[in-house]
Amino acid sequence: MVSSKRDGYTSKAIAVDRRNARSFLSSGLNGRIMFVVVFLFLIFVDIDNSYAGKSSVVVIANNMVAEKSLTLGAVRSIFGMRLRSWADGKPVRVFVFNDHHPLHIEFSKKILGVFPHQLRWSWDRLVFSGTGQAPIYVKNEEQMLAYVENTPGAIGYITRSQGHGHAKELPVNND
Amino acid sequence: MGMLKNCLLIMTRHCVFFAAISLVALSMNGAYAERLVDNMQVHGFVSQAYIATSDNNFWGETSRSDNFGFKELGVNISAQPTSDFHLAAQMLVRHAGNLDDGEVRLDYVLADYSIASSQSRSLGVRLGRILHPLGLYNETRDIAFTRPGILLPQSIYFDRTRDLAFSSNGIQLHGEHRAHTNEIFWQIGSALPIVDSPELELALLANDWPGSFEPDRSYLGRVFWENNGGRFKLGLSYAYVDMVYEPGFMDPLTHGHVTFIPTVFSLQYNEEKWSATSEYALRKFEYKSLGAIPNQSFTGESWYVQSTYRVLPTWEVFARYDNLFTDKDDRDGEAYAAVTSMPAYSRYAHDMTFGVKKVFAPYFMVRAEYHRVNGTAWLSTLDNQPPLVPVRQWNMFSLLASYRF
Repeated sequence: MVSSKRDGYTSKAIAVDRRNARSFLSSGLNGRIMFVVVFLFLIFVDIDNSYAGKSSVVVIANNMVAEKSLTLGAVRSIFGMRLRSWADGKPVRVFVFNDHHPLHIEFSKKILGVFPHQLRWSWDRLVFSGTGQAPIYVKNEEQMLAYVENTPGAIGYITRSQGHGHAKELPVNND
Repeated sequence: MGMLKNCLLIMTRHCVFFAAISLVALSMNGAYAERLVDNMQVHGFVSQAYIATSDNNFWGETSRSDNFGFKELGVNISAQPTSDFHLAAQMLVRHAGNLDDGEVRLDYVLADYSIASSQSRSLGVRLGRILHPLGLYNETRDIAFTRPGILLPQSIYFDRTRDLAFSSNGIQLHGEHRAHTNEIFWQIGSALPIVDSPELELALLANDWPGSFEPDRSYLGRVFWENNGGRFKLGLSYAYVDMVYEPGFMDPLTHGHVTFIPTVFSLQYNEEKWSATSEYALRKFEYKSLGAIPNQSFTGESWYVQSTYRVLPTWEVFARYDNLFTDKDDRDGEAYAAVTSMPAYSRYAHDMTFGVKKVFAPYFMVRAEYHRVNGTAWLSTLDNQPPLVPVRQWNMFSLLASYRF
């Protein structure tokens, strides 16, 4: 669920947008200066508030992966498609659901502390600038589990209550 | 009728390309396992715009009836034969009014070797034709899905000098450092810029002279600090792009240099439903020993603020205010007008934009946007030839449909 605190900021932001769109049209320069001031103010609000927290989603990996846990930074880089190999040098294979899948949204927000639109932007940026590859999309949790169980170096996520079969759970340290 | 003819012409011209894309798309369909085996990926995009303008032209004779002058089509391929190596290339076909005639071109082709990689840092080197690390959007400027509107803010991401700003042949070192919730990304490189666009001489030397530009050794670098998975981004980009002018037959110009030195400051804040972005750029130009063009140096100034709101998961609206001053010491262009008798408003552009985006599926989206522009500084000369006289206050409406795979 979206926290009420965040809702507060969002609606404030919209109100600011509307007000400024109007003042742009009516009062010219003052409106522009105001827009810049408000913009600068808003970016300093809430910077260090991570939404990572308890969730029903867990990160799973293929049994051959040697890592026993991951730092938040590492899990962000792996799902951001920027960390391409495990500590032993073997390639990482990332599996995800599509952008609007409820489990993907929960995973992004609760585990990674990143919004799905940001992940999408980073992936597109890598794919279309020649600096990286896209993750591999799976349709449902059965498929997710099957791929992670059977692909060396695989990592993905699944509902905790699903169990993780022959794959292993990788706890994420929020340090 | 004209539109149909236009479409047919494009279809014929690119039928080979379309066929290639279709084949690739078909072969990729549901082939997760295949992709895993050879660890190769193919992606692409197709975009078509409708643009209508009140007076001046943008990407075609848009003030008359040629509204479909912008279309693009790209395909890229990437492979990671080992976890240390990344290979990638992208082909692009782009029509943009008189600026781009739809020739197939190579956007990038590169090899990337990872020198070191761990949970907390990485270091790598890229070789080949590499996209310039400039601001937030330069590397993905052609992909409608990654742009914050149909048009990028033209003050910084000029479409008239696109090729020069986009990519070059060279070498780049890149790295990442992660600590707690902070990340630092950097790139630094040396390259030979791409200087064969027909608009370049018009944009930089105000005329099509008998000679031509040749690339000279150039340097580029960017550093970005990101907090909390990109919630907050702060960046600085710098480039020193050097070109040599080689005079032609009976040329009033002599062997000399034109140097473009942009510095871009970038700022972005992301919420789930709301994002705010701003960039500020100083663009310095230096002209040296060109003969008929006296030695000179001036600095242009550009900045924009944009606010994007995701109303629903598939609907997005934005507002942007974008400013360009060709010479920051002559913001109203009056000094330039006095010397050249060219209009003062050709030296600035203030663009207020409102736009909306609808995502129909992860692979298909449509955008609409309205621009109210005061000034003509970023208009292309090739699209606005005499007898057309650019008008100071003008409007633009555009639609864009984009598909990707």
